[in-house]
Amino acid sequence: MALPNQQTVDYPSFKLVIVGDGGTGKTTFVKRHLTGEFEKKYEPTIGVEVHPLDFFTNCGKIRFYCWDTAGQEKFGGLRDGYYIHGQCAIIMFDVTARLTYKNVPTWHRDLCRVCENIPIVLCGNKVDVKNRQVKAKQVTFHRKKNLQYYEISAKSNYNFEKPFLYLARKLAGDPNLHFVESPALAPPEVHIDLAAQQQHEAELAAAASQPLPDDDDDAFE
Amino acid sequence: MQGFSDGGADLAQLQTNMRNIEVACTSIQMHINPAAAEATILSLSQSPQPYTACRFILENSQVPNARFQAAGAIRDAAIREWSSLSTEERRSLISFCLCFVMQHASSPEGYVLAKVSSVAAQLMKRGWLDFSEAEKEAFFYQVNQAILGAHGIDVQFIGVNFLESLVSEFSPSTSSAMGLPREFHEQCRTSLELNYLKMFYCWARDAALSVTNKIMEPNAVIPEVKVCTAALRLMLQILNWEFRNDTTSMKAGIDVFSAGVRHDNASSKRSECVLVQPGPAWFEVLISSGHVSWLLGLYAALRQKFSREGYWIDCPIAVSARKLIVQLCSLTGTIFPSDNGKMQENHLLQLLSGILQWIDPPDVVSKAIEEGKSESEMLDGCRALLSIATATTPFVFDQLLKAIRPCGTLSLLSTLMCEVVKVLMTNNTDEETWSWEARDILLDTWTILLVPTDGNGGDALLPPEGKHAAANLFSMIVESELKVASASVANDDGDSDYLQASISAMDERLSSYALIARAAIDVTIPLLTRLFSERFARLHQGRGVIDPTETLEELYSLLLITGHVLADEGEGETPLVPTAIQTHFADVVEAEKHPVVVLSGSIIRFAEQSMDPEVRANVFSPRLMEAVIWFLARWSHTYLMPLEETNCLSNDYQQHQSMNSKKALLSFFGEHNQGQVVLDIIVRISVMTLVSYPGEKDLQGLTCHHLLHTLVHRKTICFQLVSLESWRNLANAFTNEKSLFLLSSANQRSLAQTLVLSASGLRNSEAANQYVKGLMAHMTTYLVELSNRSDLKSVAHQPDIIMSVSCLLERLRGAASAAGPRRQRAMYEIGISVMNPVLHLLEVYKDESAVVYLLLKFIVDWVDGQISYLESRETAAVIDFCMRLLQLYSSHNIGKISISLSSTLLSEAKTEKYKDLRALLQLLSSLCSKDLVDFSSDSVEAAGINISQVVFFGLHIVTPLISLELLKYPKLCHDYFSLVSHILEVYPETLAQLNSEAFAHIIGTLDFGLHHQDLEVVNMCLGALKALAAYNYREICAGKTGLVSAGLGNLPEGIFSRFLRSLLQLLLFEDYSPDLVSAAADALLPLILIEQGLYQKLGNELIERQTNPALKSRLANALHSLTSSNHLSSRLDRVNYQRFRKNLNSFLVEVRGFLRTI
Repeated sequence: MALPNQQTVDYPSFKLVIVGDGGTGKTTFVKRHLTGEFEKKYEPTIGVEVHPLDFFTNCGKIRFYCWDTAGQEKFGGLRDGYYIHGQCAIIMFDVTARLTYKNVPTWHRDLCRVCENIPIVLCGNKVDVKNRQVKAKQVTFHRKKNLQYYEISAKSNYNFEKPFLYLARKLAGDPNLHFVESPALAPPEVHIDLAAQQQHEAELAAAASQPLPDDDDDAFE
Repeated sequence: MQGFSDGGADLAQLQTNMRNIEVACTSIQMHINPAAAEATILSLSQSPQPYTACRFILENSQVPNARFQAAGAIRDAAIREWSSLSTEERRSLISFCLCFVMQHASSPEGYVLAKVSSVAAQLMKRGWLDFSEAEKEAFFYQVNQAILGAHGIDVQFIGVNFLESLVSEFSPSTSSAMGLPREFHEQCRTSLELNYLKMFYCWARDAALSVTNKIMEPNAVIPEVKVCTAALRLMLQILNWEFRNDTTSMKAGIDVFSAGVRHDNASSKRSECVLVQPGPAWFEVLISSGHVSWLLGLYAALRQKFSREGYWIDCPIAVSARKLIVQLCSLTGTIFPSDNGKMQENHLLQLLSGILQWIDPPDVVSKAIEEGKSESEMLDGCRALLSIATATTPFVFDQLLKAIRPCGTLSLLSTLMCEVVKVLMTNNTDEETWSWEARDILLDTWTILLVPTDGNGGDALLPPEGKHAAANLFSMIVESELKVASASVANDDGDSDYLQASISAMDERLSSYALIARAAIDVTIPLLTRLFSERFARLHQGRGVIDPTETLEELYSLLLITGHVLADEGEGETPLVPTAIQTHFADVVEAEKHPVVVLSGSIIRFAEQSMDPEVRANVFSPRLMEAVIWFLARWSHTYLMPLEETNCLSNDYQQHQSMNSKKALLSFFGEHNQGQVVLDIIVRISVMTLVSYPGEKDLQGLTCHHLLHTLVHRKTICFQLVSLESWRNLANAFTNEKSLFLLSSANQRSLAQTLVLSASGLRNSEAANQYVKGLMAHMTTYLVELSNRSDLKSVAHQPDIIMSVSCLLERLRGAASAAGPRRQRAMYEIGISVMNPVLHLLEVYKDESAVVYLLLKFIVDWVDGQISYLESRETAAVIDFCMRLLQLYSSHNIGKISISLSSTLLSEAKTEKYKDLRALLQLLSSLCSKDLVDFSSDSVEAAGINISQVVFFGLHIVTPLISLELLKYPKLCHDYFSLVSHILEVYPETLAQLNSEAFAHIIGTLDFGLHHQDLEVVNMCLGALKALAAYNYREICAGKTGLVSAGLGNLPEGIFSRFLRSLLQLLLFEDYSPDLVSAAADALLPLILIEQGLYQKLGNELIERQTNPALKSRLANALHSLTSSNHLSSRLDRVNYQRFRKNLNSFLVEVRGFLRTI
């Protein structure tokens, strides 16, 4: 699946379609890999943007051509027209916005209609944010549909490679495939750890007695 | 655009069109010049009546992508133009699509067929409420013929596939948007559920039945498998439908005494579980017709074939069959007759007997998987157990298996999970293997069974053997967790971060463990006590001889587990002692011997040893200390000086003895018993972690945010705290001790807040205020002195000074955020005393963005905590101060970002501004709130303060700093628009007082916000617009001039005519969510009333632009009814708004389609 305006490569490459509601972090997720930077601003994707992403595995290099599609209806362009010949896919939702999870079934249905039996990963993004609206327990869609589910955070790099690794294994048909050289990532901007989690619990408890939740600090400390 | 439209298209034209589309499709696939290619393809679907062109492509093109796009174009165009198509045209489009897929059923491009099928399904739904029954009948006759197999296997498959599309379009979770109100989708859903769904299910079943015999024959793969798989998938999809019209089930749910079978209202905690409740009409299809035995038979036959070519555990037909079996386990509700649950039990037993061989015997199954067999069947077996658990009570669940085996289902569950845990223990990796997944599913099953389902918190009753099974399982789990913990010492690589990161998943797991432990609490508490004491002894004996690391890790793990078993998290509420612990141990008379007291006591004594420096150095690693602090916090929340210590529950059924034992437990750590001693220990330990573990940010964070916070949020504890020597030591250390200035900023803030909050334990407000003043005096003095220094400018930028200033500001902010009625006075005075220093520092540190931000945040929190208490004179002072602050900030920052920096620097600078501006907006919001919440004795108006003017003045200063670029930061955008919409709704009249520049800016941002992607932002802007327009209209009606001539006439066009244009443009021609229409109607109505002349003109222009006479008259009629039907009047009252909402909805449905056609 090489693209003519990009160098053809002599190693295996796959068309990866990324779908999901607007603002769930698809572009940020892809850019994070490309440049290592985390984009705080939001600018909607128009139509589709295609980026080649290379990974190094124990079986050699592979490339995903990521078709980063527009999540917003009004910028959707050809919508499912971009999915044709997709070989694997990521469906993204935002754990801080319930509606984006509610729309997952539709994205999945549209994908499967065009791409039969391709490996699909469901990603719940923004798990670094403290006020989650969709708890891990509430994510059940993947169980019904045999998808792989990962909680990710493009901001903290959490589980960043997992979706790619899963897809690579499925595509290669080799459950033991692994990445050998981590792509350079920017240092995570937030750390998820035990203390933070427990602190979170404490703050939730405290929130009841405080008039206004103050969430901007978590984002920038 | 170029002639895609019907009419007059000749063959040559059609072929040119086709070629253009084909070329564009190829470019898209290769991603060459995508924008142009997209435009070409989109122009096909956007041109009026492109149906001939599309059909031509579908029938003639050799490029499958082009066929795909042509189908999509039919869909888009037809949905858009639906209301202007004739019944015949509508029918023929659907018919064309259906015939196309049937005729091309054997085509290799499945995605084109699926697309065309889905187009047929969507169009059928679009016309669902218009078509007569006979018309629908005709379509479905064709589909039914196909599914019956009259035209061969491929067509049979296509027929099933079409129904799959149709059902997914009618299901709320997957329906495609059609620009219609929700009611439409709802009506379609109801109609399908009541009249068709069961029929489709039967068709699918019959299709599967028709090929079952062939599949069961000992052949290799035959084409019929494809049909059977699709049919099973459709059946599964239908059983996944959210049935709502099972009306009788609600009644049955109330009858709690009837049976051991749960109904839908059993528990809110079950909302995530799937329950299938199709209602009594489905009894014949699913229960009495032998459906289950057919399905189990089919799967059994497939199983026989797994070793042969073409069949394996994960082949599609096997997967679909298993999923359907699992789904049938969730069947419940009124589909079963009211016979005390007998029929449902039989149904479940039948399924369970079929499933049993997937999971039993557990050791054999797990061995096979470890040797390479696929785990899917075993996992589906676990899922089936989960479904059964969801649909039954623990008692019925256990009984099921007893009908055919000597031991119950709980024992099987326990054995199965022990086996899984064993496997996990042996291959200890952080890879998510099958045993990992199986463990999670089985844990969910236990959780479902054990979580209390009723409001009175009664713990789920397990039969004695069940308790035994739970106890066994828990000890197995603990063993495995301990093994994992001690093993983690050896492989201490960087990956441990990853494990840590999955902490929330771990927390859930621990909660499930706790439920299991509580099911057999009499056994598990002593077990934990023993495990602890073994490890304490081991540490003691081996001191200085054996490396304790492994034992420490085990203790870490044990502390987490025990914390979960003994106490609940509370989620913001004060958690009660878990019911299981309250009601058991009835025979315990002496409190000291209560097993929970023994266990808690041993842990607290162990924790206390950390006070000894030597022991601390040897045993209490920072990591272990984290677990200790975490445990103490969780434990104190429930057990330390509990509120209900004195008042006992008056539950008649509770045995007297168990009441006594509960009372003994509760009072043991109460304020009149051991509570004070334990509290003192905890405080001393806290101080020690802050002082003796320098640099351990996480540990100190836990102490500040978790443990100390927990303590001061309980009044009973605060009363004790303030009299404790150790607490006074903490306060002293806070003001004087150097090491506490080294805590991280968030921890300093939290500590200040905690100390101030503890003042609520003092008997009167005078004492509380005195205490707060004493606590903060040092800090205010320092800031005042610093700002008065003549050499301030030169010393201010020394790192140590910046550091101290930051520290103090964090502390002040923490204290400010803890303001409450009793301590408000002191905080007010503190704030007033540092007002001038704050402005001074803002000036000096204007280039030190971190300090600026701290300054702003302190003021924001301070104002927020104070404003509602202030008397009018004080309010005036605060407002005056805030305005000076805003002006100063603005003078430093206006136009500052525009200087060209490198893009990274620029974006960083923006991020800083973004944070500042959010803080300033919060400040303005707080000031606004004075008009809403005011506890002071005199009203602010009396003192001549006009909050709205103040806020507008503030807005004046802030808005020029907010560029459209900055509004791309989602949080800032949200804050900004909520403030603006609030202000415009509450004080519309003040808009007139803004100068034209600020006015234009706000109007500009509103315009921007109207087209924002965030629904809420658009809603807020529409709300603001409605408020403005309505205010103006009322003013005019009252004979006043309104906003326009109040100094705003200098704009080239009045704001209202401008917004009338842009709102109409949005509604008629752009994309937006149908949810916005109501809010848009509310804004549009007053706009039309104000600008009637312009509205007429715009309407006429729209009509004139239509060339098609039929459409022209439709549009004219629609415009007429928009403002006249439903007795719309020119008043702005609720009824009239409602009417206009209705009118606008029908108007848009009627005309949007053809207006949007290019």
